[in-house]
Amino acid sequence: MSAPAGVAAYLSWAAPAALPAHGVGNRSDLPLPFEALLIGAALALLASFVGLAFLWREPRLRPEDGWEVPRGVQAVLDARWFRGLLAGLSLLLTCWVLLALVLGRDDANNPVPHVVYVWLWVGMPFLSLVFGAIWAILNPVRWLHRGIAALARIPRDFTLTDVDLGFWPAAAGLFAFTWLELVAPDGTTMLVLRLAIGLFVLVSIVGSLSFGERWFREGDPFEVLSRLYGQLSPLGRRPDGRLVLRTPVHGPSLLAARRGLLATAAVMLGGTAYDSLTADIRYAGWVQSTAAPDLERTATLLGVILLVGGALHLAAAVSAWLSGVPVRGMAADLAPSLLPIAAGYLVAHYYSLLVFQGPRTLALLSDPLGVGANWLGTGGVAPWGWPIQPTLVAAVQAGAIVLGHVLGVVVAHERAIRVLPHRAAVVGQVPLMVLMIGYTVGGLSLLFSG
Amino acid sequence: MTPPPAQVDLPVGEMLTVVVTSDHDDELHAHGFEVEVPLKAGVPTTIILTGKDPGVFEVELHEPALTLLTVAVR
Repeated sequence: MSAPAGVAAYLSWAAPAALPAHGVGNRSDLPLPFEALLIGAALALLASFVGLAFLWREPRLRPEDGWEVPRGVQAVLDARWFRGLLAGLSLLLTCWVLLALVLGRDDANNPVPHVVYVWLWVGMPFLSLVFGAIWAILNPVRWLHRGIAALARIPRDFTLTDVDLGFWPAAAGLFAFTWLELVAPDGTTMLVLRLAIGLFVLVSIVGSLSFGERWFREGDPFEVLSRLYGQLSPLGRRPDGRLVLRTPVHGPSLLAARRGLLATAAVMLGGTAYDSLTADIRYAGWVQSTAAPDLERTATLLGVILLVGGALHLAAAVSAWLSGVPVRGMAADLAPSLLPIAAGYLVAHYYSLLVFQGPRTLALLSDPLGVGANWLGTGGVAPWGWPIQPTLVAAVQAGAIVLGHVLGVVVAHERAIRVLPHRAAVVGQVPLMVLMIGYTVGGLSLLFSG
Repeated sequence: MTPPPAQVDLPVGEMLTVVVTSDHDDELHAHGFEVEVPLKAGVPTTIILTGKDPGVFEVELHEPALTLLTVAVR
């Protein structure tokens, strides 16, 4: 065995002890019960066949759909003062967190890792699922760009280049973040976080000065994450600007195919799947017995992402072949149907982390410098126990994955009948359905074996 | 010789004693139980974990990072 440590562990039953510890997400969920795996997989299969057999035959979801939000509500949501208030609160929180990042202690009670890995990485996408692309309003880096533009006396829409990278910078950024969270050693230490956040700010400045505000819409990993998950929000905007309530399938079905979208969706889905895979103790045991565990982890993460994206490419190619249409562009056209599935994985995988570590983050923020203070008065906030009750967690996990699958089937169907010739629309969808069943059963199995 | 990591069940409210002997000085950390103790090379060290929140928790060494076992509290 090549692990450098020689350790023997003996176990027996017996009385208690306590001391501080560090790290985020100390707790992972209990394995999904086998019954939940079976029921979830059966429901997913059923939904797929019902979808193929009975869903509408002509494109049906239109941008003008939806129930109008009352004008008074929209007036507030769109008001400059309301958006300014949200942005102001976000900037205040950012400064507070930067204080902890620069001056805080490098120990378990520093709030920065929790803010980054729980609030930003999990809480923000959950909020986006409900309210839409909120990070476009909250993103503090946008204000940095505005400030620099104002100081340098250049217009905000100043650009150096017209090169179209699409979502590729966001895909790369999301991959880097996922690697930092799940692979990088010491990803929760202040040194690594200072480096990573510094690098992110630097890349953002260069990106936004080169591409203008387009950088934030398409290149900033967190805004793109918020925008893509936000497609599933019941709150949408009609082409005429009216806010409407609509179904979660409207957004992904109407989303324009964009360069790099497939890669971005594959990183979103693959990153979560990797996180699930590494919770399996057999994987953990294998990887730490190898000569270079971090290299193996990096390779596994890349492999899972390539597998997720490659499988969609393959399914899209078979669809195109069955329908007698060109393969080119098909995968990008169908990529948005991954978004509901990625969202289902996200909720299944991170629900308990958010409800358990989210409140703890608020408590830690009350003492950013680690001096034993309680400046916000939230120092005593502790998570409730009931949201992580095992049966509830299992129900949320299986429910989220199955719901994501059902919505994914509807989106794939709607997009397929838009891009495939009429006579082949049903047969052309079969490879996609097979792919989605594969993702869903795979996701449930990972939760079962974790 | 490090045994491959395994998962140990721990009912809520019960206690688990873990005895660890390392061949080098290190730190033993039981995530989620708020237990972190130094290890001296060759000296058996005992920690006691009490099941509180349901979930799966890692018990690991820090230098280098090495998972010894996971505890499934249920």
